[in-house]
Amino acid sequence: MNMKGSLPLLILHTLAGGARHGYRIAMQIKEQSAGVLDFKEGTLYPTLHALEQQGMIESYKEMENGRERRYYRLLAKGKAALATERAEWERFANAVNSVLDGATTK
Amino acid sequence: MNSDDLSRWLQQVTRQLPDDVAELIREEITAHYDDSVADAIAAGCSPVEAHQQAMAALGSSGDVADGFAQTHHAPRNYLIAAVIGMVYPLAYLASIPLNIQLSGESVFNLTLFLPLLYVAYGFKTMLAQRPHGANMVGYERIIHTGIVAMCGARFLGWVIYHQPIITETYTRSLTEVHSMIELALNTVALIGLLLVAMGFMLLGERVLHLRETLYGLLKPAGILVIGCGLCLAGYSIGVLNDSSGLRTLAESLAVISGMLAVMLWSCIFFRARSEIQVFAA
Repeated sequence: MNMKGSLPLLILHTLAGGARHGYRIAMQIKEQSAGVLDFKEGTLYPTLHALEQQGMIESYKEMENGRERRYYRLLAKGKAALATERAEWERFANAVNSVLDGATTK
Repeated sequence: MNSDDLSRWLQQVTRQLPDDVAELIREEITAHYDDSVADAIAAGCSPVEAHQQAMAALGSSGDVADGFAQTHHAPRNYLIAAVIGMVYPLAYLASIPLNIQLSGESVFNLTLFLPLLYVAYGFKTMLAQRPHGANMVGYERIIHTGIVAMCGARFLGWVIYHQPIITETYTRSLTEVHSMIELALNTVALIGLLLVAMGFMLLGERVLHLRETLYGLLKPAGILVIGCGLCLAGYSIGVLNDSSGLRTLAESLAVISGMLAVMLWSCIFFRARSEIQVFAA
């Protein structure tokens, strides 16, 4: 499924559940969507860096299994953006569903 | 395969980036790759299959490289394009007293004109970055082609015939030495200008519904470029008819509209720099 555009929203939502590194974020999105949102994992990182540049998330280093990993956590600006984008997405999805429901009842 | 493949992939992804950023990305994605391989092996894959799966899961190095280039270069590119856009009108204004002092000797030359190509590149970056990038590539190509045609024709005209670069004053009568080649070059330059204007207009029309300040400026920019082109055509008619009144009026209007258009481009880039978005519409 085409993920273009929805990836930042999904990343922010995932980070709302706590700090994670890139691989965990990718796996969580794939698992929670039952594999439907099967995006290329490399594309996750430019989006993470862009979100960090805009002050929506911040990164820090932490040791995991003896290896230094780069974790990301949500910031206040990211929380606000998540709420806005989520509302926008729901409005869009409801509109599409309304049209589809209308088509099937005819 | 495996580590060599990953090294090659990372090299392609990071080759346009500053060293410190590239190193950080290499570490981050290598850790991701190792996790991916470990999970695949734990799920029952052979090491070879696990590495193949992990590489495939990362995706195209070109797409990821483009993403990083946009993220790490776009603000700087916008700023450079905006500054270059401002250099042109400011340098022209600065050249006026010098031209008067030097009794008509031209000091406003091509070196100030060709950097506008970078402005075209800036637009390319901007449009690729924005949410509707895929639909805007065609418009960007029109603008880019127009600027290249305009600059190329003017460059040849300047080299071969020492033609003025848009706003300088002709030091000789056009009717005396105007060859067919020179006329053809002028025509190509004007067509280029028209293409730039058309690209801006189409783009402005396409994105007008977004009601964003950034895109709202594109249509006025197109109108100004069209105005500049019409005035230049009027200037040519004034020269051919030896009408100094029409020539002066058309030249003045062409300068004003052209400079305003270029300054508007600079505003668009400054705005784009502060409005880089990651959310698609």
